[in-house]
Amino acid sequence: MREELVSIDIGSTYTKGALFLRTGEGLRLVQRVITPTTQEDLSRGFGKVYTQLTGLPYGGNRGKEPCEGKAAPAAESFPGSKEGETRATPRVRFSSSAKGGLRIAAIGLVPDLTLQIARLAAWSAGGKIVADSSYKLREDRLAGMLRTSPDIVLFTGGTDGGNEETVLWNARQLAASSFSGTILYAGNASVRGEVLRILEGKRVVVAPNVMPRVGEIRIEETREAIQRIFLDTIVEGKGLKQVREFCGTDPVPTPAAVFDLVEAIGTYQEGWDRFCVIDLGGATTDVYSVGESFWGEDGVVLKGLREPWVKRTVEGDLGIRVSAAALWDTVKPFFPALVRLVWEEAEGNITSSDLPLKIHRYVEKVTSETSYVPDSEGEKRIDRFLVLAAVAIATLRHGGTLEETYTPAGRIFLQTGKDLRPVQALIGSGGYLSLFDLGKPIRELFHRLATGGLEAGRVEGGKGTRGESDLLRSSSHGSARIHLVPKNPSYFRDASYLFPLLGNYAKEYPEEVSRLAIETLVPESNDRPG
Amino acid sequence: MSGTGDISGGAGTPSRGPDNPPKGKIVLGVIGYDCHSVGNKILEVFFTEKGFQVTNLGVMVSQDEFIDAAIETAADAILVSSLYGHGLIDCQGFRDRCVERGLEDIILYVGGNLVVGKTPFSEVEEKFKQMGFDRVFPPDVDLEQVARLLEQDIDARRTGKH
Repeated sequence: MREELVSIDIGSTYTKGALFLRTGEGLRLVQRVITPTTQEDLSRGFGKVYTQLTGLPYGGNRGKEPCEGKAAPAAESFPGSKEGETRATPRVRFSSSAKGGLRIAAIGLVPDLTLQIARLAAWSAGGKIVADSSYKLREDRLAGMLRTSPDIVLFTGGTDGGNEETVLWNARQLAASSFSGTILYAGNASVRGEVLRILEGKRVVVAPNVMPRVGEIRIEETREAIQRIFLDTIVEGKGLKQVREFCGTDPVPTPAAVFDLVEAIGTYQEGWDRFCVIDLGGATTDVYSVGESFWGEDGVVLKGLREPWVKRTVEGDLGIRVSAAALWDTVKPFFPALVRLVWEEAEGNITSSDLPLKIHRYVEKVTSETSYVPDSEGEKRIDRFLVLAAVAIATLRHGGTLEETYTPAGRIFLQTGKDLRPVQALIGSGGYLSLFDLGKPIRELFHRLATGGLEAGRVEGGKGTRGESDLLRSSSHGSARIHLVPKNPSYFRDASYLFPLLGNYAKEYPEEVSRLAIETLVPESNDRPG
Repeated sequence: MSGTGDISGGAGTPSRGPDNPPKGKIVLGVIGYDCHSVGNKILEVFFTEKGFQVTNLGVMVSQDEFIDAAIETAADAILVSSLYGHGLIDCQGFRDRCVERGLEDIILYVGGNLVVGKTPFSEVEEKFKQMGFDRVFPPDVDLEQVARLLEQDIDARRTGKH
């Protein structure tokens, strides 16, 4: 068996491609190419990458079954070929970032229940939440929601057989609105028929309830439905249709491809059942985690939802180029704490008073010129600071917390959200983290967040490192709060940024693709202390 | 009548259907930092067998968690247990919180070892009723009786609504 697999990812800035060879011994990378994305006609950049990878012409319709060994146009030689070998048409899969992700507005009933599950579902499908609403959807809230121009409204609420009143109210509000995108209904199944009647005339897709019973999460079908909507409504135009015909397959949203790969690694690779991937880009920072959400230790009680085994979060305000201004706004209130956490480590004890101003100017510069590459030591330090700050905040938001509390039966800890402490490996991916080895500072950062933050906070009675433990939300009554971030992970880089490209084949060849993903990781260069 | 148990449901309540089982939807749990779990499991089995649709939140449940679950499931009643003697403070403001969050007319029951010491039950009952609980039960109550009362109260609430 010998098969060529082409994988192409059409990003907003670059179109990337890789050629893999699949033999009885597994999968290997033959070559990788990159070219600027041709915004006005995406198929041109795609075709260029295809031809560079395979030496074959791009164009026309390769038919519905491209992979079944049809004779290919004669090529003198092709990568990895042996003399006299006949060549079957390479198989092609592709992904598209859809302008930084699907824009999803989430509607739920109770914020901590259906709305939170709707968010988890949207993130896992590769979407980003642009607006949300709980309880009854009021006119002003709806108007604000529509101003964020969502592609999809994910409409949830109520258990099956549960709340009808608010769900039907919200359906009527949506029906009366000017929203012309797709409404995905994944709420109380008992009123599904009525909801569909109310929403007649709108584009509506249905999926099973994301929370059929209190606390029970069911998001797989919603995730699939979101991806189908992505195909049907977002792919049209800009040459993607042509690419689709050429390949004979549908594109996958890039983040969903990465999600599939992450899931495959966790399922098939021994020793990889507890890890995180941090994909940091110009526009967003995405965090993926694999592992049990709650470990059931003595004295720890889970409050709220038990989050999924594979979880993805997307932070639209944490990016180092397009979203740099938003990132700086998020960082500012915690600036002293973050400087202590990530700056001193790199630069010794420098906290000059004009540092915030320098960062502010730098942020203005990279926001207006998003392909900017820093050209001085000072700028490189700022870039690195922004990256580490985004990594810190994104991981804190992804992971849960433990809050210490006292009961008649003694001291206990209340856990909210996902416990990332047992995570054994962290993988940095995306432009900056693929290129530069930030293993040491990132591991030290997590070490401080996971241990030092709490202990110091206790000793100093809420001063000192308080800013660190309060990065997300303030502790409600001054009790000690532990952030459940990875405690002692190893660090790796997806140095050739292969994850999205491997992810395109993760559904078909999960075992082979995930093995290659692990093999191509680059470990942290410095020896680990201790 | 389909007759799932010895007590047949009253006929003709308008909101009954496959998703509104005859005897109503209830949310169960042990409030506060109380981790007595055995009685809670008994209640779940008992009320399920009696034909109620039970959402059991288990032990160490906060007021808001009860209310969250009641909103999502459109519950008819919340049954609060407390066995460690701190029930009074844990239940303080429960009805007000329900009202604030849109559950004005939800049925609220409370039962267990509600206060520490030898306070006569009638006094305890009075205190909890003043706080807005519809019925208050001592630890040795006959559950059959609670089920009968609950069914009556749910019927009355549903009839009142329609």
